[in-house]
Amino acid sequence: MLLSSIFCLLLSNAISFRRDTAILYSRVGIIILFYCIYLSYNNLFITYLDSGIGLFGGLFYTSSITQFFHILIFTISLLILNMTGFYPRKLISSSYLSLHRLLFTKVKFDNENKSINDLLLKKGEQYTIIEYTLMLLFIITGSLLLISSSDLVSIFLSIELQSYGLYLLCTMYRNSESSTSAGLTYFLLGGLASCFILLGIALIYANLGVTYLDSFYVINNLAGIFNEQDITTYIPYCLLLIAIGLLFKISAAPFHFWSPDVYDGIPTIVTTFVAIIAKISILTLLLQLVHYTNSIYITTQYSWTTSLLVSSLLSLVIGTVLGLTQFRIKRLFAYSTISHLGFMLLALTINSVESIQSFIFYLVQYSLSNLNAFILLVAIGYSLFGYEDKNVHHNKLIDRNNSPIQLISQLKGYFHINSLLALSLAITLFSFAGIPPLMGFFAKQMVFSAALQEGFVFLTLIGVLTSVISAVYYLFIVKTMFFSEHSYTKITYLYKKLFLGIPALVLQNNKVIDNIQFNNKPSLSSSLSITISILTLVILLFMFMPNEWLHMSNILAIVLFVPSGM
Amino acid sequence: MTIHLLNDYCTNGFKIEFVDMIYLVSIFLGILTIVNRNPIVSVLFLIGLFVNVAGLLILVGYNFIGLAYILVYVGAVSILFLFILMLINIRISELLNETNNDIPLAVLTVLLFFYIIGQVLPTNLTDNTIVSTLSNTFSDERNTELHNDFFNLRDLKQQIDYASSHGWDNSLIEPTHIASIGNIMYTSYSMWLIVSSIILLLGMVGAIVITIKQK
Repeated sequence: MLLSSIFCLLLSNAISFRRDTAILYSRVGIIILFYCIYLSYNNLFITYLDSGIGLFGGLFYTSSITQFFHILIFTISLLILNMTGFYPRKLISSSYLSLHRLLFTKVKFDNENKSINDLLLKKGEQYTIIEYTLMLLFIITGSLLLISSSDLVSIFLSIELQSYGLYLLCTMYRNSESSTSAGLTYFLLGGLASCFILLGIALIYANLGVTYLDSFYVINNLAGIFNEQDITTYIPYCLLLIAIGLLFKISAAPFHFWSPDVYDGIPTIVTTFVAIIAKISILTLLLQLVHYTNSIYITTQYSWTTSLLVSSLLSLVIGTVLGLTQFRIKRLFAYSTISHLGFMLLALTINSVESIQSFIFYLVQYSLSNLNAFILLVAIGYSLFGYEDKNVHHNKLIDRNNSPIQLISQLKGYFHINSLLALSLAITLFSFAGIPPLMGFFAKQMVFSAALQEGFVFLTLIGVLTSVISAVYYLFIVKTMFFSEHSYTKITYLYKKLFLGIPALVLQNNKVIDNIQFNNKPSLSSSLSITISILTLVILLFMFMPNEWLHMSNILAIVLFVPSGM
Repeated sequence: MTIHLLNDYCTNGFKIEFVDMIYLVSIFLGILTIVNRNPIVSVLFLIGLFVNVAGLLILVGYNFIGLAYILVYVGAVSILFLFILMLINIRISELLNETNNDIPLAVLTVLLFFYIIGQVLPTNLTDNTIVSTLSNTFSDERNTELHNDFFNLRDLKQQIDYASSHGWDNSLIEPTHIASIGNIMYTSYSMWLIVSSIILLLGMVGAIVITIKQK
């Protein structure tokens, strides 16, 4: 269904000449994602779903876990499309608020008013790229296939589909030099990672002669029982190669160096997508791989998941320590992502019911709060319309149109400009840091308790310590937002014009029936504010009804561990 | 695989020496590709190397991969290289920097690669390809060993004549590589074809998106 929508969109993209209709394509994309969510929600009720159903002759499979993560991906990309689906600022007039007028009349501004266009940011570059939605849908297709692939070749094909889309998405804003160079970096390093994955797959095929993951798991676990050293010695190395490729793609610690540069270079709207979606799909794939190859029967000294633990340790340390020196906010987010990946890899590698539960919960909550952080960043950039920065340094930043907020010092004293946005960002950052009543705290606590239960005391200590250290940079952002004087001044001539009011005509059946003035301050569009408020409230009020979320991840973990026949 | 070589040796005069000649020529071409300063000449040597390897593959019996080599590497990739090199017009003087310092590193990398790959590859592959490339004599010994111990050569010859004579039923007994690959790809693995076609579609759309002239 997603696929056919892609083709429809492609066709209509091909025949459209107007570049300014991109906003409508985003809205169409939102509708497509809505019915995709509906379809995959419906699929949750298939019988035998809990034990997994092979599709297309065993090349792909579906189970409750894959369906759940499909829905997660759809939801997150829906919210991301929401950012380009609507203009970022709106005007309010008290005389145009009644429902009747809203439904049956049209507003017409007198001729092409330049300030209106500026205000609504109609000519912003994100509203002129009509292929944006199409690329997004291609990437989503790739990650869905990746989550539910059960064959080595399908894994490779879907990873390529997803990554090509991501490279293209990064380079799509062609007028900005930094995003092009970041896209090129991403492409080269992603290609290297694909080579590793391909080498691992080829070695597994050369050794065992299978590409089906099911048969691979069977061989792997049986070889452990018979203690046939010949096979069990080199399977872990092949898996290690694949894991290196996958860790490269999610930018876990020893392979993290590309992600701060790439995240910083590309526009913030694209960063939101690139930072979240690829991680969800690849981590879900790793969940499957780790769970089925980490058998208790394998008695060799070396298990490949040990190297995942090493990667987790390095991620925790590098993500926090290098994050301390950052002064660009998106680089800081990239490092914080790396340190959170450390927690997720830790929970993934322990592989007990409790740890898988905490892994799923951590992944969901982290994706949501990361999404919230990036949307807030975009919204803060939009909300600074009409202000002029006195700091000359800030005005010289390259690529200011695409990512307006680049430095942490740009947020200085933001609380005094828009206190609600600042509060939301503070709540999200506290959740990242793991301050108790917020959602991030519960996720970290679950990971730690699962790790302690299995005896990973050292890693738990490292986790607690790094979590404390990383709180330093989160709190630093909060400090700059709340306790400093801001350097922004209102642009006077613009405000004078706005104070006079923007005249507009109200039309009904092409007849002018009224003449109103939009004289209020421009405010943030409701699509952004609603998304931000919902996500922030979820993070904030999670402690009052945690049961749904916890039960969901609990059931998924149990489904993974207990086959339905038992 | 040894059996396969032996079969060809018996039936159509295939000699292991030819393979070794090809090995030598391709090593020679590979070295020339790296050593040559002029990028265009270097790419021409690279094309020669690819053709050589394709010939080797066809000779050994991997018809499809050999043809794909010629089609993809020679036909598309190298020609693209050549065109780009001719278009961007690099001055050769810029490329004349010293690279002698890197030679120990290169040797080390190659040794490490062979060591690791030799560890991980299954034994039957390492025995037959990598070792026999290095020593011609060893593979000869192996062939004679096979002749003496396991097979009666005359019987084998008869059998092979029976199997690969040019009868009409030949195509039923042993389909060519291309036919069998196609047979599998269009039936049980058709999903892969669909996914890879989506990837190609994405590639085409992407190339257009990032190069189209916007108003």
